[in-house]
Amino acid sequence: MGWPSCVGALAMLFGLGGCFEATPFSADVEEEDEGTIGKNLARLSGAPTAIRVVALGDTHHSYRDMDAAFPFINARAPELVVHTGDMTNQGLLFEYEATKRRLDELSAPYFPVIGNHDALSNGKEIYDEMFGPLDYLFRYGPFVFIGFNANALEFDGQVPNRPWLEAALESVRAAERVILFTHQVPYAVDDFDGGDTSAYLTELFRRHRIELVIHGHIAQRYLRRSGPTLTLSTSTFEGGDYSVIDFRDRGLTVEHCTLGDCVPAPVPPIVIEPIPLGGGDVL
Amino acid sequence: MSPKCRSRCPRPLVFAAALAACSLMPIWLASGGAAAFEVPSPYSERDPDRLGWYVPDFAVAHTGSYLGALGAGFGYSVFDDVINLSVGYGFTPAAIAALDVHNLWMRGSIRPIALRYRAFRFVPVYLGGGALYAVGDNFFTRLPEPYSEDYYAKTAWMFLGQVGLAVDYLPEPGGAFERHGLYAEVAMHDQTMKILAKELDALRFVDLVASGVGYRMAF
Repeated sequence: MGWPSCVGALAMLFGLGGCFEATPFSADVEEEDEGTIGKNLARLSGAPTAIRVVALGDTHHSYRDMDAAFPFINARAPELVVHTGDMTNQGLLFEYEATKRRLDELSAPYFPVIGNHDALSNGKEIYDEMFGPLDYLFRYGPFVFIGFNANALEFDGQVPNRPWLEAALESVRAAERVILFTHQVPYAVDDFDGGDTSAYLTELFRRHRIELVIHGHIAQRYLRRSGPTLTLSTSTFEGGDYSVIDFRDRGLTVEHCTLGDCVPAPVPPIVIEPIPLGGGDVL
Repeated sequence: MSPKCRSRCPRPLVFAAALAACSLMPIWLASGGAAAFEVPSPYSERDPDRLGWYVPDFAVAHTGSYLGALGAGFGYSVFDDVINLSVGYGFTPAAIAALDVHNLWMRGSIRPIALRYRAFRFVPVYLGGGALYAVGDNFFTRLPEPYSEDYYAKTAWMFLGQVGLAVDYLPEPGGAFERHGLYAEVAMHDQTMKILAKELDALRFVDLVASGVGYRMAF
C-alpha cells in the first residue's frame, strides 16, 4: 500500500466514518428520537374491545436477540408493545439509541417505562427527552394502561409518584379494564431501609380493580394471581423471551414465547391468597 | 444540523482542518519520494529534557474523542517521547451535550515511529489508552446502601482506547518551545468494546468511535 492509499484509509477512518463525540455521557437526543411515547400514542386508533399486547423487558445489551425476535413479534401483529424497562446497562445515549433503533422496527407502537439501569449516568434526562414522561396513562378502547416509575432507589425515594398514581387509578371508570406496567416488582421493590414502597403498592392494588400488572427487573418469567389481579413478569429478554397477551371481551390469555416458539401460560383461577414476592435474580 | 449545537457533528470544520494538516504533509512528502524521510533513533533526540523531571514535558488542548468538548492537560514524555503520559480536564457544556459534563482524564500512548522532514516530524500512528472520570451527582464510584458493591458498574469511570496520528513543527533550538503539534485520533470506550466483543454487528460504526483533535505544545 502506497502513501496515498494509507492516507486515504486514514481519512476514511477519521473523517468519514468517525463521529465527533465530545463525551460518552451526552444527553443530546436527536430530534427525530424525541417524544417517542407521544408519537406512538398518536398511532393508536379505534376503540377495540379485544386487543393483543406483547410484553417484554430488560433488553439491556441483547441486541442480537432483539434483531432475531422482533420479526416474530411483528408476525403476531399486536396492537401495542409494552417494554418494562432496562433498555440500557449504564443509561448511556448510545445504548438508548441502539435499543430504540430496534424498537422502531416493531410494527406496533411501543410504550416503555424507565428501568433502574436506564436511570444511571445521565439516563434519566435521556429517557425524558427520548421517550417522555416517566408516569403516564393512556386509554385504548376500554383499556386503561398506566405506566409508572417505581425505581425508588434510583430516584432518592421520590417515586412512585403516589398522588399521581392514586389520581390515575381514581380516574378509572366502572367498565374500564386497568393494566399497570412498571419495571420493579411491585410487591418487592428495591427500596431504602425502612422504605414502604412495596407495602404501599400492594395496598393500592388491593383497593383498586386492576386486571393485570406487568413488571420486569427479575430473571424469572411468571404469571401469578392475587385476587382479581394477575401479575406478569417479563423476565430478561436474553434469548428472545417475551409474552403475548390477548385481551378478549372478557378475560385474557397469555403465551410465553422465545423467538417464534410460544406456549400458553396457564392463567391462574381467582383465589384469595397472599400476594407473592418476586423471586428470581434481580437484573 | 439542528438549531441547537449537537455533540455529534460529523466532519466538523475543526476536525477537517486538523485532518488536512496531518494528512497532507505525508502526501507532499510522498510526492518527493520516501528518501525525504529520516527516521531518528527513538532514544536519541526526540525529546531532550531541558527543564528537569519536575516540569511537565508538554501541555495539550483537546476536543472530542470522549474527553470533552473543551479540554486541557499536561504530561510527561518518557523514552524520548516514545511514551506519553498525561492528565487533564474536559468540559462539555449543556449547549452541546444537553447537560454540563465535567470530567478528568488520564491517558498514555505509545508513539514508536517518528518520521522527520526538515522542521516537521510526523508520527504516523500512535496507540493510546486511558481512563475518564466523570464528576457530578449522576455518577458514582461507590454504591450507597443498600446496594451490594457489584450491583452496578461504576458509572463515573470509563476506560478508553485511542489510535491517532500527529504532526509536529520543530522550531529552531533555544526557544521556549521544543515542538508545536497537531494530532487527530479516534477513540473507543469500554462499554462499546464490551458489546463489540459479544455482538460484532450490534452497533453502528458511529456508535463505536469518536474522533478528536488536539494541539500539543512541548517544552
